[in-house]
Amino acid sequence: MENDKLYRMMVAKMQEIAFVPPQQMGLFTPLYKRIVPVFKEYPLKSLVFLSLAATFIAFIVFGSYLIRLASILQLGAFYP
Amino acid sequence: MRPITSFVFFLRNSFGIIKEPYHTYRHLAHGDKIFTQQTIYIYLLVIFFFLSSSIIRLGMENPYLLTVRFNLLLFGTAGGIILMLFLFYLTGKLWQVGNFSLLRLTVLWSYSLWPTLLWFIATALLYRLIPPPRTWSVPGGILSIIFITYSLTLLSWKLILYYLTLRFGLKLDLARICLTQLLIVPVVFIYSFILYKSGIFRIPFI
Repeated sequence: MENDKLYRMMVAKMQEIAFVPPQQMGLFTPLYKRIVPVFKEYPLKSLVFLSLAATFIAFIVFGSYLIRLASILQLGAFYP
Repeated sequence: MRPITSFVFFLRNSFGIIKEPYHTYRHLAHGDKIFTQQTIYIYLLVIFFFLSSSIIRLGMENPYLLTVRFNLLLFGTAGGIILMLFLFYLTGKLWQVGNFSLLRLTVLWSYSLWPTLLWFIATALLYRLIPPPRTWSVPGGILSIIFITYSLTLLSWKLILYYLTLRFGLKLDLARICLTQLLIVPVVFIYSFILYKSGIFRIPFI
């Protein structure tokens, strides 16, 4: 059986999965296990949505300050 | 590893950190052989970006200023990367991590430079195409919202890759990762402030 290629691949995959022990957070473990899978595959989809929502909220709360922040960042991250 | 093979690895893992960052980082960290050669390409991209952005901003009239500018950016970035790796080393010592591998951490942290590089490229291009300041108008507001959303998305992506570096590079759990920030965040803040005061980066290339 140990010469079987599929078997060896599965063993290697299992070892990779068990590379780090599962995350334990006490009472929050079920919540953690519900949230985290969203960020494990194509996290950018969720991140774009969340960032857009956060920006809109910030725009409503801070108004022109957000535009000023965009200008500061756009002035260039480095000198001159 | 041959250059073409390492380039294929680099491309596959670069798409991997977009599609499945968790699985890609776990795959990179797992295994006895760590292929550090694949990270050369991201550093070449960083060097090319600094060179082209220095030329775009300063022009070719003053080669001396151009060289100084380029070297400052390069040393600022190299200092940041070395500092982060040193902090990871200290973290490993602090939590007495067994089987500590600096090469593994270097590969993982190098891939986390992608969001930083993409943000700097977009900012440099926007600086040329639609120069700031933005105004309190409908187009100005829309562009600001798009730019802030883009920045927040890349920042969150960077934080995910940073978390995965600590998770798979040092095998830390979430509680230890949070506690480690008491060591890392102040040092990074001080380094960023030094870069700001030295007139190298307004936002550190880390």
